[in-house]
Amino acid sequence: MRQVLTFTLGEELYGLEISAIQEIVEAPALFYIPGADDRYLGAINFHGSIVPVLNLARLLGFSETEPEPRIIVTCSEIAVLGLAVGRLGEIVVLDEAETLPGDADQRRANCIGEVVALAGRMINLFDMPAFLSRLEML
Amino acid sequence: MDMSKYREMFLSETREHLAVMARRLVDLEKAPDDREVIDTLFREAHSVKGMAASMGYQRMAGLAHALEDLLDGFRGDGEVPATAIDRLLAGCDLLEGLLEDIAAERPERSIDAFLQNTAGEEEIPLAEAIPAGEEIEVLELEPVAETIPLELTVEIADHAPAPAARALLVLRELERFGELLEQWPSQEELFKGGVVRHLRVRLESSCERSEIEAALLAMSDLAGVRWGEDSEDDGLPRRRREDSERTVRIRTELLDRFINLTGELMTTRSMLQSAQTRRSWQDLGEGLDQLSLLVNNLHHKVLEVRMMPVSSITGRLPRLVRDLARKTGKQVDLQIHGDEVELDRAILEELADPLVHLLRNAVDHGIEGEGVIAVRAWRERDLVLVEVADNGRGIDPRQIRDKALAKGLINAAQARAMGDRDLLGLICLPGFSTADQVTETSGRGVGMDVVKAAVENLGGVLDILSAPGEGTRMLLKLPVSVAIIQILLVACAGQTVALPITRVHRTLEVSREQLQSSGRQLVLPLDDEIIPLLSLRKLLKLPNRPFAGSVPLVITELRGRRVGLVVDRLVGQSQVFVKSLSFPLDHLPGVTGASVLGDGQVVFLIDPQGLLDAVNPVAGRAA
Repeated sequence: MRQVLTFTLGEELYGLEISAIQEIVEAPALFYIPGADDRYLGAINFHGSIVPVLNLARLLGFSETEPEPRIIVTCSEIAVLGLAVGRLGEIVVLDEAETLPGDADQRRANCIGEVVALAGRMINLFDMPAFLSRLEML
Repeated sequence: MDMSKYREMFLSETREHLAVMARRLVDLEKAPDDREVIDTLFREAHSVKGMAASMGYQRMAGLAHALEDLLDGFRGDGEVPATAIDRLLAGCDLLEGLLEDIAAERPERSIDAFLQNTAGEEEIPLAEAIPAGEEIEVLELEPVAETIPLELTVEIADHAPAPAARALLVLRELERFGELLEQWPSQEELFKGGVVRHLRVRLESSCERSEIEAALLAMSDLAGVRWGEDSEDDGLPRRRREDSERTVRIRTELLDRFINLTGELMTTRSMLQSAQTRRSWQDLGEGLDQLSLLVNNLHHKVLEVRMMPVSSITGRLPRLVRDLARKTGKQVDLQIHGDEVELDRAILEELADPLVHLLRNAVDHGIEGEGVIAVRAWRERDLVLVEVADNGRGIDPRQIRDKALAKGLINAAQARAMGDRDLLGLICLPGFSTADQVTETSGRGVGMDVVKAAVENLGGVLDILSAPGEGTRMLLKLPVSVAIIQILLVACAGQTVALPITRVHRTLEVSREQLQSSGRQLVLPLDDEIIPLLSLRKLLKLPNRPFAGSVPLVITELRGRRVGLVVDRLVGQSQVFVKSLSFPLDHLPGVTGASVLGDGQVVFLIDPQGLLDAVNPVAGRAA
């Protein structure tokens, strides 16, 4: 069963596989990161580890208003990240979803692995590896 | 997953074996008939072969075997000729290259050229390189006509039932065409089942791609086959190199002590609990005393886990000095003392490059014709001292002064005020080089400024002691552990940042009237010196504000010069446990670590030099 947590960025609906999520943190205190630009919202004290919180909308070039105070903390061997998104949605099961065709290169540029349609909604599945390699290049 | 655990162990152990080999080979060169050295080298090569073979790294195993054979030939009849030592050294270099390939998850580089170039009399017939019936069965030398490994990704259809099992079937099919070199995910993972969409394989095969592809596409539930190594969309971002080196081995004895400590902590907990139920203040107090004792003890033990001997970075030095000496035609005797002294691994890692640079300088600029370089490490209270000393020509402070003047690094008034020791410090200014011409060994851009910055970033100090004709001593004073340090907290525009106290010369508050303007630069006359001021707000790209009233300053050193950092407020000092930053925070310039304060607040440690370079790259470099 493939489950994703949905969230919005700008007008678009994104989905992140729940296997890539460690925790959702309710409005944590954000601490100042010296010299970091506005793609970083700050750092959080996540169970004693220092985790950067990224403004996902800003990073992916969406003109975003206030991001949601709840932060998605990802789990990855490469980097543990806090992601601030537009609005958090619900968790959906993708078994019935239908993969939509599209330009793979263009999707990759927006860190989208695959686009699926589910119950009349279009969900961009967030491509974590692509996102991490983009971060490497910042 | 399991396999990658072994892989890291393999990498770190092989690295150690290769370091021993490099060191012993240099010993062998000095005493080519030393049986004990030959035996050690033989054993090391044998271990590398065994480990590489069991991990399936065939080229490394094959090469180690060739070296082992070469060494075996000398176990009976004494002296190893110089040509054979050169060949062994070249073989070791190649082993290191292979190890790098493996660490970077690249295909192993070719070793055929090495095996074929058998340097004169030491012919190793390829067919005999692997005697039959040895315990290592996977070992097979590759055919001389080299086949290039094929990379392919098999996509398993979304609707496939039991995709992991399907992937295993694909592997069985591929084995018919040749040899599987590597695969992702691993067999172990596939056996666990779960969702597998892509299977990436490196295959050594002499068959045509089309043939393999046809066979695969004949299988059901496969969506497609892609060729080539496009690492971008395989869903497996390459692991960054540092990640593979983050394992430690711990003595079991230390683990036992952890268990004992845990036991004592649990006892103390029950003692505290019962004291609380009985509302006995005295027992509570005693329990707390005991607790703090145990926590201190635990802290020390944990730090011990991070300790590694200095030998872990000096292992390669004999080889380095040998090569440098050869290149420059000098006779250099390298002596290493006290390499059993232990330091925090994080410090050692940062120290490896500066040490190499100091040795290069010593061979290049210190030693004349013939001489001795001594690398010494010893412990002094809570510091570890590492010294690189040569008995060469020494440094002439007057020559340094003239050069610094000529280059405009200091002005005449400054030059007059400087003592010999200060003058020697000038060689750490960026852009300063005492060599009249750039030499191949040490004139390659890494200057003493980098060495000094590295030492200071670790909270250490670099001392240079030298006189003409009396050799040079470079003395590195380092903290034993980086983990716990004293910091100064400062505030700017409502944000708090920290500076390691070792970087702070002093703090003071001056009135606006004491500041003067020189050009467009605000300066402060202090102890017969004119100190330029920098705004920390500006370095941090925070909104500026005019100085007024009393101005708090932190006097620190940037590239060998004292500067005053203007802050909004000096908050105070604190002793903290510093966490090293992980990706992507480690990419931010001028941020060196972070710490969680007692109240849960996170503060970052800054390196003003790094911040300055980021804000003002050109001026920062040229300063």
